[in-house]
Amino acid sequence: MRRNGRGAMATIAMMVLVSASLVSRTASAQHIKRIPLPPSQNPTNADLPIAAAVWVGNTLYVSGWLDPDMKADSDTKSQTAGILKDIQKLLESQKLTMGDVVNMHVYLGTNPATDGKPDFSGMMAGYTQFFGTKDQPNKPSRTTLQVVLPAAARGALVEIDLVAARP
Amino acid sequence: MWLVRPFLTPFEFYIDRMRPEHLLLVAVMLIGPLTASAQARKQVPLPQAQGILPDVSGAVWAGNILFVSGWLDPDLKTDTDVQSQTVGVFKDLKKFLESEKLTLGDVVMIHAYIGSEAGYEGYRAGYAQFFGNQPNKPAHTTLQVVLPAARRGALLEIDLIAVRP
Repeated sequence: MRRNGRGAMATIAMMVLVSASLVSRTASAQHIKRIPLPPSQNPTNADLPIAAAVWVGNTLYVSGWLDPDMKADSDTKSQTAGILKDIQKLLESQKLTMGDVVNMHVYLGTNPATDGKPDFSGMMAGYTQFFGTKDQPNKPSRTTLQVVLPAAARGALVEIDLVAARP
Repeated sequence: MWLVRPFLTPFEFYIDRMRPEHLLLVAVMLIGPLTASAQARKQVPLPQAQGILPDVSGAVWAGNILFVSGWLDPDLKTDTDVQSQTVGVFKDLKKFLESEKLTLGDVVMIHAYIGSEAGYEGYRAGYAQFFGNQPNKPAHTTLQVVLPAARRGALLEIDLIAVRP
């Protein structure tokens, strides 16, 4: 009886050794996976030398994102919501949710409707539909900057890039 | 007793005497370094070509991820257009990454800060020389900003994140 107990102990010891060495091996090698741009961010299907996002282990780095429908969404609030809705789709395709966003950069362009002054409260009105809500209480760290957006000529008022992490 | 099991190996002997506390100790010894190695931090000093900024690292390793500071063309005097400065910056970044045993193919995210709207085309042309013909496309954001180094002739600045494969 006692000898059987020791045998079981030896088996457990071996299992711990093997599983611990397997876990350390997977953790040390950073798995990298590059996600191509979706049609919403590359409507002309051009051969652009950038990725939509890159997985590094459990962290996803997402490129600067624009509202796919800038023509219809002509104010900062609706463009912010449009961007976040489209990013949500990307995250869902990667089995992530908005609650997995950990860091965000919001770039506000000059706003023609207010003599160039960026519409911060409009951005917040779009943002708060997705973060800090009853259904999605998680809030990311965030930096908001006023810049000149490269896509301003196409009607962009706001651009967002972010980092998400697999829970 | 030894007559019963004369073939006891040292490992069997240890296991024979092993108590649950030992098992726990082995587990902690194996898993402990794992959490420590995921946090390994190393500062890489700013190369001289990037100027002397005593309070800033050129880059910081966090585990297998390298966070690189904003980078300028080391030769702002000679390179007076955006395309040649873009080539100058990426050439210098390539050298820096190589010193850390990385290549431009290990870059996962880039922020390009460009001083003027007129610079986008030159930036795209310079960027394509380094990333157009290789399969590893980084995530990327391009912005137009007011550059702190503009008065020294800087037309763009780039920061990036790279990962040890």
